[in-house]
Amino acid sequence: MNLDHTHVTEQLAAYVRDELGADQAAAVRAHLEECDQCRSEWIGVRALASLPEERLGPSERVALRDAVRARVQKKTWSRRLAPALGAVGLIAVVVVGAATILSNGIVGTNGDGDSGEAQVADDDATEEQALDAESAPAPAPAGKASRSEDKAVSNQAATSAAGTAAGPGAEQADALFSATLRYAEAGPLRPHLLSARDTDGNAFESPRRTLGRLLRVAPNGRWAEQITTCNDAVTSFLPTGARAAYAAVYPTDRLLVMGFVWSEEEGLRYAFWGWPAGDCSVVAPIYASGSL
Amino acid sequence: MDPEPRDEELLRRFLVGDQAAFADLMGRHEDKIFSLALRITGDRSDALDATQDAFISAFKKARSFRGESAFSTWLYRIAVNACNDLLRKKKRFVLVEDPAGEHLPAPGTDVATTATVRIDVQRALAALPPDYREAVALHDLGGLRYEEIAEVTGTQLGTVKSRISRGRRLLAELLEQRDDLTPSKEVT
Repeated sequence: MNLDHTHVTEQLAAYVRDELGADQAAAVRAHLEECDQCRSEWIGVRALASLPEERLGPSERVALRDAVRARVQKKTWSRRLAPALGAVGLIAVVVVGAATILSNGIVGTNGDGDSGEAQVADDDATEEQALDAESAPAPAPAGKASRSEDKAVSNQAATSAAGTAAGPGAEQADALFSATLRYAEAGPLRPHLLSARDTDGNAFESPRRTLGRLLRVAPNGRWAEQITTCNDAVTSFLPTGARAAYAAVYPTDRLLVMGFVWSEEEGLRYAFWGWPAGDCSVVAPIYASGSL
Repeated sequence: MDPEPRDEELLRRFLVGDQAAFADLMGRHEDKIFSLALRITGDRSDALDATQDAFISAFKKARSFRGESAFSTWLYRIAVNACNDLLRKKKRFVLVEDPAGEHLPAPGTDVATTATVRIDVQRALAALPPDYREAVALHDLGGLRYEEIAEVTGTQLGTVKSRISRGRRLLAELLEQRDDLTPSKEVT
């Protein structure tokens, strides 16, 4: 039996499920032997078929039905299945705070040796805050950033951005992140320009701005998908119950990832940086809570 | 009385306020929709959100369901849309080529390890263009026939075929060249 591309294409789904008769299956097999295009399709089909069937967990099932019922039967806000809004609020705070610290922290660390860089960083600080002003409810005034008052500025930004929503640990988070950044700045690699874009096509051009935008949330203690390069490795060391993790990615000759993990129960848990290589196995915590 | 009413009948009952019909419909389809959403989004929490969005959307639009296709087919279509919406909203950061070339590794650097963009099947699927992903997901994961996909997506049959074919090949390519999203091509 001779088959053309079209026929084989249409039969691959049935073939992978073993639903074809013996003759047809043999014909498909023979065609795959000699046709690169169909063999390439077959690789895709087989990969998809290798994925196991997934099921909802018991609590997920209940939550799903509750949420759908609430939205369908009453037109009220429902609980999302995703993490609590409180965590998101706090994260917004820390993002603003960390961006401020970053801008100022870099200057504070390197200002004595590199005034040109300091000036650049200062310009970026204003820009960063201006960018944040678009999304934060009430960001710190851009002009008030002061080089000698990193901490005060970050706290001001955090407080004004989210009022009382900050909760315990946010200040500590700022401090640790700031220290992490300084550590990185003082290290052998300076952050490089991150050439990146997101799915909306926004491009990122400066490390400062990029960092502010790349701070991400790991809901339910899982790593956010943005650090796609080391998803698995980072996830594997996140403590259970961790509420937030942040990282910046700097593509250098290897990709540098750094960030920290914050949990409501334990406050700051880890800060880390590393160069993920291949499977990212070298990403490791460099600070544990309290060791700064 | 039919011991297993059709989906369409359950939907009709739901529309007149039958709570049991709602639970039955959810029970019949939620795992399949969730599984599909998980395959498309590659993230459990995203998949839960997309599943939730899909069912909410489906029940709200229930009155406009004309029964021209099977309920499950219609639901799949809504679910794929929910996934695509979610992925669009999320900012997925993708490393791209540095146009100026200033920041590329020096020639000779082991760019294969620089790549570090690990794309497994799920990620590869999520990386497909939405039209391709939709067609491939509906056919290869959802088990819909080409004709059904053409119908629910309002697309020509030939377009569906071509999207599935190209989507699969692109998937294979992504799986074979996991450094596809990195600047390595510029260097090598």
